[in-house]
Amino acid sequence: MSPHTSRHLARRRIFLVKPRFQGTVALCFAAIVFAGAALFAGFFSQYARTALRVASLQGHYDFLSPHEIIGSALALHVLALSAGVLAGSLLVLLFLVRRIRSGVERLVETFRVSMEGDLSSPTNATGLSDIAELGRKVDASRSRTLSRIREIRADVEFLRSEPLTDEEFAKRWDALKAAIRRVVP
Amino acid sequence: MNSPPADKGQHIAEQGIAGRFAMRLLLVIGAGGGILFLGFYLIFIRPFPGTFSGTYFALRDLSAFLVPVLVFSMLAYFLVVSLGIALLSGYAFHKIAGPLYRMERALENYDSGHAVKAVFLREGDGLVSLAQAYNRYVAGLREDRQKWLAAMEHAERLCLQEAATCRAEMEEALARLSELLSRYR
Repeated sequence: MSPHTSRHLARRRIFLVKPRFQGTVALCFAAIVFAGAALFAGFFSQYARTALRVASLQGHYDFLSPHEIIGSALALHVLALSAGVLAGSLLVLLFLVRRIRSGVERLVETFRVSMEGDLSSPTNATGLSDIAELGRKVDASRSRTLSRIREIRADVEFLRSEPLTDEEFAKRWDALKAAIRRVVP
Repeated sequence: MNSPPADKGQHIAEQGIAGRFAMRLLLVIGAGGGILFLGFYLIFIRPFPGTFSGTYFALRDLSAFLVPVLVFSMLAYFLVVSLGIALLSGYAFHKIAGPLYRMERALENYDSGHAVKAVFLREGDGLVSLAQAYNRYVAGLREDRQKWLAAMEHAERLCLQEAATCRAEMEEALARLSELLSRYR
């Protein structure tokens, strides 16, 4: 591979960072488009078939093309379809933004209470599945940190309470320092 | 962090992503509606035959022919608009998916026992508040760890000065350490 090609590949943007998350979002919008298209097909088909049948039963045909019979209704139906799909998509967008924001706010709050020492209250992140999953990972990390801190606390209490020889005390003291250094290295 | 620090500013950044997405959504849906109308217009603008019977049968045929035309055109509309929105949402939501991915990597790094790094987001990314909360949490833990070590190292320094009171100084440091650790629950 030439240096130019490798540089080009290295700079290439990753479009699908989290396919499940981005795919779910795309599917939500696709469902709205599908519903709009189905409703359009149903209503316009019903209207156009009736209008064409009525037109065919007239005594005089004073129109040159089907567009003169159903053109204005077609424009209205397409307009209604576009407006409906847009409104539905905006509602989905609003819903997604609210869900993402509420989930992220829970995570931010969890980090805030963690700074105050609370490493055990669960995050309970609501929202999209990826945010809820991130919440579970945050909880797992906090739990592991709390376990390390509890181990350190137990070591401290052991050193304080047990009558140890100076040599043993020094050994455990050094081990305690090493354990502390392993917290957020 | 390459984004404004205030929470208000971060909400505005996330609203900006949603706002730009909504504008592009309007364009895609508008273009889809326009193409759909144009397609139907080209079908319906074809003139009727000049004769009465020809027009009558053309109207009846069109009425029967309408359902498959509608099904095909709505399928095409659904595919084109959904693909457009999927690409659009994939692009817009990678500014949310990217930070989620980076947070997951950061948590894996945090749990691995290797040196914990701060999370840095790209220009224009959302969820800045989440990355900042994580960075503050890690910085807070690191600061506490420094305090714990400082208490122990202070006792060690006093030990070097006065060997007779060494054990007492160390036990005092342990009491201080126990007090510092007690805030974690």
